[in-house]
Amino acid sequence: MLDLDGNCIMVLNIINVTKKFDNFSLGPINTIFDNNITVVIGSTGSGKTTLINLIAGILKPDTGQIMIDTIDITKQAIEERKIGYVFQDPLLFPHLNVYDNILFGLRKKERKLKEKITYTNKIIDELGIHHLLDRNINNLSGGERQKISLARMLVLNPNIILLDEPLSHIDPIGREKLRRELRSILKKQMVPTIYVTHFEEDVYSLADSIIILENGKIEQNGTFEDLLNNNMRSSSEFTEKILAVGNYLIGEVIYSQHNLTKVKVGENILHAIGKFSCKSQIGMIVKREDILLSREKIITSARNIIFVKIIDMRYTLNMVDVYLRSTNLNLVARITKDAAEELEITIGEHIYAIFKASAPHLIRQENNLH
Amino acid sequence: MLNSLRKNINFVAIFAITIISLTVCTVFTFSIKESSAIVVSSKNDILVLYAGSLANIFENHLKPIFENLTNYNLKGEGRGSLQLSNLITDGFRRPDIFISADTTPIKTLMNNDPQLADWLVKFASAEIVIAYNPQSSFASDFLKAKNGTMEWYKILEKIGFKFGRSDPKLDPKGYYTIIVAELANIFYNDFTIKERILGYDNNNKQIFPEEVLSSILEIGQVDAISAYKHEAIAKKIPYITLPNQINLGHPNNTNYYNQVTYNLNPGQTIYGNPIYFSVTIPYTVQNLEGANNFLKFLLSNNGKNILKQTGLNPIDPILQKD
Amino acid sequence: MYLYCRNKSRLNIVKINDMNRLRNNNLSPSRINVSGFNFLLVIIVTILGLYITYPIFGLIYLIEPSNLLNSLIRIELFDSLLLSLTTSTISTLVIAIFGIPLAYVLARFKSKIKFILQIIVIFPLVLPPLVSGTLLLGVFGPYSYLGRLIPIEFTQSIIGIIIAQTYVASPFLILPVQAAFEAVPEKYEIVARTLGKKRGYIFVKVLIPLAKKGIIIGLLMSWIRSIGELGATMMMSYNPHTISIQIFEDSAIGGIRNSVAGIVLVILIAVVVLTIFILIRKQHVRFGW
Repeated sequence: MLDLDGNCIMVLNIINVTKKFDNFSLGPINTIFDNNITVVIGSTGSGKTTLINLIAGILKPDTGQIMIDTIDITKQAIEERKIGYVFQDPLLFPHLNVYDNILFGLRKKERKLKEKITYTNKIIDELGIHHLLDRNINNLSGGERQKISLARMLVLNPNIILLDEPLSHIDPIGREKLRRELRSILKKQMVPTIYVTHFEEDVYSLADSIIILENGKIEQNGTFEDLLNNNMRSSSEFTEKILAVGNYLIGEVIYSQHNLTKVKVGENILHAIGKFSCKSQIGMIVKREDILLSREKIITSARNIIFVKIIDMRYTLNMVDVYLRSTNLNLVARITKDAAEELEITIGEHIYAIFKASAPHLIRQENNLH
Repeated sequence: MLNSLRKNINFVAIFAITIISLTVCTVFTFSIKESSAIVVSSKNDILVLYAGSLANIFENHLKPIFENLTNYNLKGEGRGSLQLSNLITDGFRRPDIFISADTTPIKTLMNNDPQLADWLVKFASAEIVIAYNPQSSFASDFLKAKNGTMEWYKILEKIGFKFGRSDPKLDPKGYYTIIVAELANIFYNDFTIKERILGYDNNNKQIFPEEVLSSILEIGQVDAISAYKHEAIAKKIPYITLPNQINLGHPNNTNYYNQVTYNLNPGQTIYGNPIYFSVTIPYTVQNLEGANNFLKFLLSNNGKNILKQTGLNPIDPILQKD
Repeated sequence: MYLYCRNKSRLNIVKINDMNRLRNNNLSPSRINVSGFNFLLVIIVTILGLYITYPIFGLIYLIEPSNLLNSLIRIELFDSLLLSLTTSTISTLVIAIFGIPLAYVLARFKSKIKFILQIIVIFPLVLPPLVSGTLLLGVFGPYSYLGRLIPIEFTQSIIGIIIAQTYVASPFLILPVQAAFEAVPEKYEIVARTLGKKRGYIFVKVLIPLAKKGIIIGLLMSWIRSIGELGATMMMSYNPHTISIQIFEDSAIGGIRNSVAGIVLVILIAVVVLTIFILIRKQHVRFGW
């Protein structure tokens, strides 16, 4: 299929797919995946793994169809579908060394082809695992293993890439490292990529679009901004957490040294922690709970002080979401009812919104896809 | 490739050894005589089923000498004679020659429906002796019995004395032992003897498979066994002889032997008779020429000499057709 | 205080000394109980070890060294040994060709058939070999349906030996191989399938290498069981003699002392098999085998 620019893209079409188990049922699922990374999140048991297992062919749907472009793959066996699957557990073959693991999917003739060898080496370099090739798979870290698992899958040029919580079994430092590299590696493939996770950070770092799955049904489906701007409350605490992050700001990096970054958002200059290249676009997520309100411009260690106007207040059980606006900048702060009463804040007033430089979560931006 | 070879050098070595030895084995096996019967019975094989007590005589004497003289391969299997006749009537074995330790098993073949044999030749007589373990605690008693100062049955009666014999349902020697005991009752005019030395007929404290009797005597599990004289001589086991009237080895005592009967199975009662080792070529014969050759050899002077040397008592062959 | 343990290392002696030291230090009862448990284990293991090795040493009493060499160099002994080695190898190969795929089916396919199949596989294990031999004789004997239909000498021949050995030794291969296959997580096969490989390829290139140890153990077990087979072989094919039958016949001919040579040969084979077994165990443990 061709997109608007005339580029060749793959489309994965899920039509009316259902799957029933003893105590759980998934579906009906209707959605289309294009050449982007879709992050599927949801609480445990919401059906995420079931969904990608249906796409992979590990499970067969009770009803519905799965189509790639115009080809119906619903009845195809796993090995006939050209899909790549990275599991939570890297599952490297113990009886082969690293290099043989990576080449496993290639047929004997393919291994001798010059193009294949070049391509394989390219992937190995991209993942930075060249030094591991003749190693036994036993003494590798979780991150290294998962990279090899990725390489093994990528050399086969799959039409669809599925990942089931690939970072779960990796130590936090390794996880962060791999997460940063993962987006560029996956985007280069330019095929529908479905990434199942329960880490919020994966959503921030990787998602072009997000699907929130709850109780076997798609609750939300769209980009991060769509989800944030959509004020619908979700029925699960988990997605609540994701959705209610609240503040998503886009700005340009104007300074970045010694891990301190200054970002121009609208007319304001905000401080954040992180290292980024100047002039790059960046996204900032600030949690509602992290924003303080103050009547006076007090001197604190917090670097970010913005003069805002209160445009709306929404009450929940014991908290208040205060909607604030400055020039080209919208924020939501969440404070306790008691605090709101004490400060006697009302709609229409001006007030200071304060948050520390460590509060924002920064996301690198790619050029045209957000 | 070389890498993985080096890693798995153990397996490679074992695999190579296995293949090489298998090749060597196959080559050797196919070059030895016994291997011939893979597809069809070779013309050179003669299958002989023989009474177990003849094991030593057959395997160590008759067989090598006969094979030396002729081109034939003798394949022998020794068991209780009744057991052998059962195997034949069941269709499990098709021997060319059947040597039995009594006429009864062959007679069973002759009376079988369908009939499986129609003649037998009695070729040697045997007598029952008591073979004992010279290291048993009763050895001194047996020595006394040997020089006549003690009666043999008094030893067997003793408390703690362990006696071994074969199964009267499977082996003629088993029922011979019982008949001998019954004759002893008559001979010594003491009708408690049999019960005291044997217990009841199928006393499983005394009954053992025929093939292991001499082994268990050797290791001391029993103090004495009933055996044929030729067996005891062949296996070099010391023995005491029994009076001619009861040892079933003397044809001129036939009438005396006839006093006793034994119920082989319902409907088949046999009389005490001298023990005749008999031979037949049953209907199941596959190699008639070979069987005839062996029979001729067995009954020849050559054969008779061998039997005599090994303690069997060859007689002029008596043909019986009923 | 020393405890001489035949098969164990000095480790055991150290443990008992530790126990004494612990007692002297007046530690809490639970600590001493743990050492007591170890002690108990040591005792049990030693008793079992002695039970198994003692009869072998008892053989020394039966051997007359001067005679041993002569009695070993008997042609029929070597013929029967060679025959046993060859037929056992052939039987094991036959069992492997059919048994390994069967073990795969049992390990991977869950259905009601599996239950019946499992019972069928265990069946020869449960039957006394003599009974197996008689049953086999009944269907392969000269007057049976097969015996009359096919002009091959199934009984009293090498084929008879192989039939008897295969029947009796098959569970000894199938069961360990099944366990080895079951120990390989099915996930590996799913991974391989996502990488585009078909089931047959996965069976040969993934499952079997990962179950290698169990397969070799199964081969060894069925091989050595075939060598030791007596009851069924005696019924199916007394001639030509396998080594077990030869030993049996030797003892019938001349008592136990006559059969010692054969016994020694078989023990030597057992030692060789044990050595191979140990070599395999030393290889890197993968799935707890």
